[in-house]
Amino acid sequence: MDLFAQQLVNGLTLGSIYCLVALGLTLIYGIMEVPNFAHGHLYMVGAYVTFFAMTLYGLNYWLSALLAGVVLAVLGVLMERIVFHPLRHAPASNKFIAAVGAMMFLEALARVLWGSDFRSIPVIYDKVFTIGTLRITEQRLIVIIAAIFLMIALNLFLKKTIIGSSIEAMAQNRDGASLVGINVNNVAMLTFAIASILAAGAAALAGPIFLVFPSMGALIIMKAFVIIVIGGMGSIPGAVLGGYVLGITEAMGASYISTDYKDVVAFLVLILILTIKPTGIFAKGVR
Amino acid sequence: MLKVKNLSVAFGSYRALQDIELEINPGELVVLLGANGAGKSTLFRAISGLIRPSAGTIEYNGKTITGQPAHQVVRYGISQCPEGRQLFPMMSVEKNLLLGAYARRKDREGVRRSLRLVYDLFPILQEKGHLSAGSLSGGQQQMVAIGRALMSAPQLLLLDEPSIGLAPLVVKQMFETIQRINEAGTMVLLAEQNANMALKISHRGYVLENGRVVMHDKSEALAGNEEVKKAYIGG
Amino acid sequence: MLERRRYLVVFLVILLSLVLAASGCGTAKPAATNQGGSSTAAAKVVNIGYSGPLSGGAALYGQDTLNGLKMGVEEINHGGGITVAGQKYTLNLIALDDQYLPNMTATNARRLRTENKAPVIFTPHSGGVFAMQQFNQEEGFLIGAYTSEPKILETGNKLTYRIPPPYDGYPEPFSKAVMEKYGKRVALVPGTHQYAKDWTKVFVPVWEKLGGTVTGDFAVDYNKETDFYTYVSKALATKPDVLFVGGASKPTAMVVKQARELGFKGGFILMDQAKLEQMAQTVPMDQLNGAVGVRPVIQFDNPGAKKFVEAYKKFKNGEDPAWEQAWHYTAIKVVAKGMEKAGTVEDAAKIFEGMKQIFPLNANDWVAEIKGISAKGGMLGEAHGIMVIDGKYGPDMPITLKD
Repeated sequence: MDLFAQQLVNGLTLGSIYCLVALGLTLIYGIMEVPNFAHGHLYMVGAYVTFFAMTLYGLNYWLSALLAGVVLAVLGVLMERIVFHPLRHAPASNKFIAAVGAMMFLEALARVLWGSDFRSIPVIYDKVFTIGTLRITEQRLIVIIAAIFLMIALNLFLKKTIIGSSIEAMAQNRDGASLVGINVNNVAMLTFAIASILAAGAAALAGPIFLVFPSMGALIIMKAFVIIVIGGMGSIPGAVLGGYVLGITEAMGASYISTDYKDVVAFLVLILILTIKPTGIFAKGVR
Repeated sequence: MLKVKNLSVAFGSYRALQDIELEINPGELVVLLGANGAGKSTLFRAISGLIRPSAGTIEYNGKTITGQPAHQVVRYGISQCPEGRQLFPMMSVEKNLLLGAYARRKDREGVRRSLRLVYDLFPILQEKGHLSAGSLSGGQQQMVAIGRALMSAPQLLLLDEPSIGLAPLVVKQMFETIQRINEAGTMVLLAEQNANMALKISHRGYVLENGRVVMHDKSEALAGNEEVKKAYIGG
Repeated sequence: MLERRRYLVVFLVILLSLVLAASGCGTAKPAATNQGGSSTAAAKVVNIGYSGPLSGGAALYGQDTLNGLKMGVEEINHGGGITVAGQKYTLNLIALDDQYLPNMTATNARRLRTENKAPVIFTPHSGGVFAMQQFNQEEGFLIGAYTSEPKILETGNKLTYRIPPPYDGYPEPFSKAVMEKYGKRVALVPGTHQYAKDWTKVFVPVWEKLGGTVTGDFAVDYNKETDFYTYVSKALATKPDVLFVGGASKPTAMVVKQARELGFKGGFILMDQAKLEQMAQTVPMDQLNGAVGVRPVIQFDNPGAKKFVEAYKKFKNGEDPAWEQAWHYTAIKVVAKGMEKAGTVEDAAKIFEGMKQIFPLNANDWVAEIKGISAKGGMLGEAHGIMVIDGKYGPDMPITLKD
């Protein structure tokens, strides 16, 4: 029972990070109809920005996270303009290849600029809370709470503001959105900016717990991709639910089945969900 | 007023529209008759800026708008209720309507007035305002589509087969509504297969065949034309 | 339509060239280290091959190993190169990326052999060594094998030169040291790569023979996993006194750190792949209390080791070297001397024979005392362990090597 509670908390921490990255991926998918495989590498850049802001410029943790958000928003918009905008009328396979190319480019760039070393973001919040036998560090608690906060903020933006609604409108019906006066270009840039900010948030939160290195994005993008398949491509509640499901399944699978089969358990869940509901838990709206 | 001159649209080597000449004057309700595939929707999409014409010009109030993107065309006062409705199915009816006013979202007072107007036209939509648009019946979705197009307070409304798939009783109401919208001062271009009713409410009409305008005249004249009768009115 | 396609092609070409340019800086281009020997106008060039992980999760490790070779090559060329049968040669190092994948090591090796005629090809992982052993004798090149995996010499391959001490000497002294201090229950949290599996297989019987028990195996992929909490939580639920851990240094450090966060108070046994001095950059020394591992090269005080550390710091802007660099630096010099002794830069078997004749090497001039190269091909260097006690490195722990 102690182990169960501990693993639940561990799964929640992992799931929080997964959610934030998967949300960005699913938002972009809604607009581009192609998974942006370079999204994980934006997360990687976010981690490096946070790292350098803290170690090189001595900024405080929260300011560094904020800076990462701003830098990534710009980078996300640039990526949309340079990589995907020229391909907006091209078939999906072209965008797909471009996304993979952008991914390789970012990783190679990080390797050249910052080297291959593992780095760790300094931990400021390193107190450990103990509840019975359950232990959780301050930083992990921050991860869980801040992720929820970011998700609520995203939801309010998408649902309560007319600008935010334009993103969902574009994802649900492109022609319909154009006809009411929504500018496809602006929405694409806005979506990349928001998705990148979420990635930066995830990176800044996870940075002090995980290691920072050039290929860290490749690991998280695989999970995020699985999550949006589970949740339904392009679905926002699906990404949130999928993120927590994957995080908790991984932790519980490792704990009660075998650590060797942890990923297998996660993929079994994936197959199971796809068997029962091939379009994912929350299918994208009917056309 | 809208002036379409010499307009052609090509998809690869297929010429969907050829040398279209069409005009809508202030206050007019104009009907566009044609079979499936005659090019009605293509013409609508070209006017709205969803596709680029390969030749010709579109003028609106003396200004050339050919090749302008769709989101810009709305801002000139041309609004389309497209074929297949193109709603945002996961959003509420009210959200769909409010997004219809996206281009003039800063005019809060005006948007509220337009919403009032749409609810007056279609009282059922107010009742179902919080349901998702995708969950409504076909007729109700059609109302949302028309309502959404009206939310931009257009001077020119393009209606692409609003009666398709509706029950006869509902079709009748729909045409009455269209007439009322027109009488309130909005120019209307209406594409229809249901020529009988469309010709009754419209001032003038164009007949489209294989991407060309083959006939245009006053509505009464068209209604009396033997060929039109045979091809579009039946019986 | 046409315009769009042209757009795409131009864009893809730009992107591709950017990627190639970026990766080219670190990998495909031959590491131009032969400018040093400019004085000898008539000097010929002999190519030395390297295939290791220069991108991906293990890239740092690959770069470290390559840096040792680079430094050695630079030093040799600055000293005028080598003289083989009266002819001057300079060394040219050609490094290719294999992303830690054995099949890519094999592809790289064939390329290095056929295109560049490299008589010696280094690789820093056992998988790559096994892959090259399939064909290196026919194609006639010597494998510079940087792996402490003892099994690579059990294949009977006559052209495999194992550089570091084999790991099978470590488990017993390491186990004794932590068992005495912390207790007999060990939980296994090593990596899932082949090397870690093999190490674990050697370690477990030793631990059990000494009267210890294993509470469970919680192996975790050090290069792929982002968070070790799940595994460490489960391992700690079995109430161990000691954790057996190991993989690349930084992830290993994360495992240690997270174990401490989860309330673990016992000791750690570190596989030799994890370097204490690199771990200490991530985890405070006092959290490493009770960790026993390989003694860092910077902790040695024989003149040879000190000289090397100084020189390396100059070579790499003050960066501390680890054994990866030290052994590679040593190995390339051993190869160079072997070529001179053998009088050939082409015949790998003769070069290897020549290398065997230059020993013993003393600890005043070399990083460690090296007795020779065994009949099977293993270099007989020194090995030392060390334990962290009260936040400081404890006394030296000499290891008796079996080979």
